[in-house]
Amino acid sequence: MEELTIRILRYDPSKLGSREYKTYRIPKRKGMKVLDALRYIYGTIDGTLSFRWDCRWGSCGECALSVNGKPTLACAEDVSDNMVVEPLRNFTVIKDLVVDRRGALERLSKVANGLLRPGWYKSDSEPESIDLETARFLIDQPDRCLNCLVCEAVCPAVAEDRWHTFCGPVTLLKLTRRACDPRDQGDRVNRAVFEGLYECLTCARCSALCPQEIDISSCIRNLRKKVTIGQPPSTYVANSAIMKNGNPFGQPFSQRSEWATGMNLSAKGDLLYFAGCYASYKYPQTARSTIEILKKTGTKVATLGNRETCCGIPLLWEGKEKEAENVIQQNVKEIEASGAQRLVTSCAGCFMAFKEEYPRIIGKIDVDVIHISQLVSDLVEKGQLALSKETRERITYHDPCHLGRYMKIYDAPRTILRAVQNVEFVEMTENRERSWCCGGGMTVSTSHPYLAKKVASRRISHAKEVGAKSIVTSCPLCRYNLDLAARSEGIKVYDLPDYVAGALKCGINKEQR
Amino acid sequence: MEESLSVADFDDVLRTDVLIVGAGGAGLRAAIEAAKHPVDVTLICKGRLGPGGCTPMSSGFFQAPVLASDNPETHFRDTVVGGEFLNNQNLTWVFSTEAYRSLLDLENYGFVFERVEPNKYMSRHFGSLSQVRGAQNMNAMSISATLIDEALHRGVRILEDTVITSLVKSVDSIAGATAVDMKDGRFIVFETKSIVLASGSLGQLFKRSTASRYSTGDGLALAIRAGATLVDLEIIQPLPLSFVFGALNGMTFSPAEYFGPKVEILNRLGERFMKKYDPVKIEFTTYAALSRANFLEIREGRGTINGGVIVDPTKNSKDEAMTFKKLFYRRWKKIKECYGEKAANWDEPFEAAPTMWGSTGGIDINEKCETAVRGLYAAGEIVGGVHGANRLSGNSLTETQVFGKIAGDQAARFTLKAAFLDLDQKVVKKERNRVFAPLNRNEGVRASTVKEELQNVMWEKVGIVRSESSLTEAMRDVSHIKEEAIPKIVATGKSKTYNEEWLDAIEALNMIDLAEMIIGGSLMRRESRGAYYREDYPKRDDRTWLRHIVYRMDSGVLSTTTRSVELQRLKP
Repeated sequence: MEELTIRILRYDPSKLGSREYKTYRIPKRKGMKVLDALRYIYGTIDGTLSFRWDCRWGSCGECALSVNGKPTLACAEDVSDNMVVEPLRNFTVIKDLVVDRRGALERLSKVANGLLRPGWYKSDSEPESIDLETARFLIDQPDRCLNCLVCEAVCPAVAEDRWHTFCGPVTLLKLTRRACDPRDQGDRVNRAVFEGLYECLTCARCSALCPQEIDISSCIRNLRKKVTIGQPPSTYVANSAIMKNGNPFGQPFSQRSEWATGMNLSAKGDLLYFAGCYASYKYPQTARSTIEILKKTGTKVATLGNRETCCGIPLLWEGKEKEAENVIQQNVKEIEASGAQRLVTSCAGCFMAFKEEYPRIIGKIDVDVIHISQLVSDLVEKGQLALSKETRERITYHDPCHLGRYMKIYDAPRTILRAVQNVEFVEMTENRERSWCCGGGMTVSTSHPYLAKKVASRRISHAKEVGAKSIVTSCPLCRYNLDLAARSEGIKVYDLPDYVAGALKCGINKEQR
Repeated sequence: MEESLSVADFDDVLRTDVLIVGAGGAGLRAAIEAAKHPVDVTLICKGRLGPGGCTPMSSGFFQAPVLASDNPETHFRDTVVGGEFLNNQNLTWVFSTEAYRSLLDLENYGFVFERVEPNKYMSRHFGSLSQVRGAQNMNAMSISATLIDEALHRGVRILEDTVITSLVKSVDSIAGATAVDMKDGRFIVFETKSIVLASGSLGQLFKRSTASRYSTGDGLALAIRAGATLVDLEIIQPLPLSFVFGALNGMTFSPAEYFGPKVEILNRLGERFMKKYDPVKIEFTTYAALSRANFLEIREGRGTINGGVIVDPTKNSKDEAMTFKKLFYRRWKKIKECYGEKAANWDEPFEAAPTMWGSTGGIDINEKCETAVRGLYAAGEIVGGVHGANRLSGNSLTETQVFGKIAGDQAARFTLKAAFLDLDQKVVKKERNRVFAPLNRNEGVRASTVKEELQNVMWEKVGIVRSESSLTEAMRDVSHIKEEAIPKIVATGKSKTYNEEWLDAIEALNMIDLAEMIIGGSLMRRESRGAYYREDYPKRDDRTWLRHIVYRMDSGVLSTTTRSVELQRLKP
């Protein structure tokens, strides 16, 4: 019979130094889940193992724990050989796999307590009127919650803040539920602001790992859209700057295309490069690198120059749809005027805006939007681009949330990095849909810099664990934020275009030799 | 010197006016209602607060006459006819008249039922009902969450991971209770004026069951030891189709009618065997009849290698498969997890086996939820008599809310007039010794083994199909376990912190008593009625058996008698 090896993190509070991994070998059975494995170990090998379970079909959330570092429900997770089972992260361990989740539940009930309204609905003839769309939303999203607290265990902000000022995703989800309930008259939105609504990184790690498939992150963003006053000052300043100057930094329009000086770019062409605010003002080198790569395709590359404005996603994230629409219309007008067939971005945020938000707000846009990583991976796969580095190094890739979890682009950047010669590509343990957040979180890097830096440091430590000397990412905000924490650790952070451009030169040199 | 309680006898004394046992729908509802009075309310639950009991596991159907075309009388009639007249009609009447109000209460606490129009609930028609009825929200966990919010908001003290081990009486009234905190092994003595038992049913007595891991019937065993009477405990409802392996083993996926009009249930030989048992309705017969047929086919060796029959929905159209996915997404997901995507999309047949659902019998109460013991109240699935011999779909959630509310209210009202009574120290000391014995023994039989043996016996011999011979055998096996294993039951780990084996041992001591009772009662009831089926007496016998079986315990000796059913409102 096939056998499995399982390592379980044991801990007995009554014994000194008892926190250790124990290895068990069990026979594999048909349709075996992690819960079955634990019950088998408990029943036949070791009766001292403690773990919680209850309904065994994913409707109570009692058996939440970590399997190979991924917080999940034991009753729904398939067993695998050499798997590591640990208690749920971020919580105090009582014994073995049993954690104390009481505090989180009480906070939940205190912060987002029951319906608040002056009277009771009393009628024997018909039920209280709730519009169908709202009822559907409540039942399909927040009501599905099991309070298993997997979201609290996966949240990068909770991992650093430990509920000190940030109340955690499940509490914000419950507040959203109350705020969206038409019967509720409590001031849920302001409460949410006080409980750390703006400390949410919007990284959507909770949405990706929720056992009930609730889109927690989008619920929280919906709650932010209801905020009228109480935004962090930095967010307010950035948004005003976007409305006035077309970029969140408040720099003048005239400096926007300074990076393109001497690059001979036209205003019209088939291939349009949308640089975005970060590349235009903060990282001009990224914009230049992107152009260098684009030129390799042989097509004429155009830019919008000073007529480009912010893509609008920071406004959309704050629910300023009206203001965002001005910016969006401006961009769409200019893009149409350029006569481009394809639009390339090097920023993950801009990419998501064009791909997801623009069609939602103004209907279809008449241009094919791709991210630079997709374009380059295409070239690499076709063999049209040779990439190599001069000195051998070990690198890793950090998935930006806007490109990864939101847009599901995981493979393209990896294809590129694996194709670079003389480079050893390694994965961090938290990758793809489980990727850790850079800490930037659209606005968190400016509104809560301490939190942002802590989250970034954690991400850097993940890179150190696997021995990577460089981290490549494909979002300028990730690059900015990771860079803050990486400097002191001697780790280099690159935006993908920069890294590719660097590898490109070597590639050409080799050919010329 | 033995007169006063010494420190060694207990670790904590907690004084509270109302003690509520169980954090499922009924317990939480009772806590909310009790907390509306000026009394101190404590709720204890065996697991973590939140997933308490079977409430989160229900399909979220809440039966109540919500439409203008419906009324409590029809709901009452459906419930009594469905229960084959074994109902306690006073209770069923309260149940059906209060159902709608308790549904409104839930919405007032913040719950939302699905709507087809802004002010019209999405009601459903079940095969067994005469009317379209009730409301639903598939996320039954949300009911618990709503009630927890409300209970905490109202200042109910909630103790998690606390197992109640005995009820302590003074003469014939409740004086307190003893409990163990599984988090640190503290032995807690509660001084209380009244207790509401809402600790659910005994599904875990059977190997295959849909019940929560914590549904081991503790409350039932405690109540009968304290002098309360139980009724019709022998009637346990089966469900026809459940998963056959993995963690989901024994969990139901849905009744046959969800799998489209052309679903076929086959045995290993490919025979559509239901034609033999019910030539008219075939697969769409009652849950009980289908369960019985499935059980018999498997027992006769015509089941699959995993011990199931085959559900074949492949003859249905694609549209119907998509509707199933849309309407029952959670079940679809579970079928996918267990049998794969093809089976979930009805592209290939899959296996299923019958399972145990819940008991309709339980503690005998009156309309005020009072038991035979003064100060002891009961609510929820632990109560017997509301559903007679067969519980209809969706009535279980309604039951928790209706009787939870009454029990909480009545217990608090009683408390306002009652005084704290003295606890008998000797009883507490004896109880402590009993509870700690498995921990103090060094060798013996492991609690989990005892539980497993018992579950096997109960499933095979006292399960869906029973007979004189199977029951006699079961009685012998259970007595054997009781004599050989129970006195030697041991927890191998000695840690007092969340010691799962210790919990298993405490539960096993209750389960063995209940098993004996169920077998005794089954031997007595020589007929078949509703969910209850005796192979040797396959007919309903209204002339002799329109009677409740009543269980009592007098100084440790179990007595089983019968009492005729009162047919105040509706006669067969």
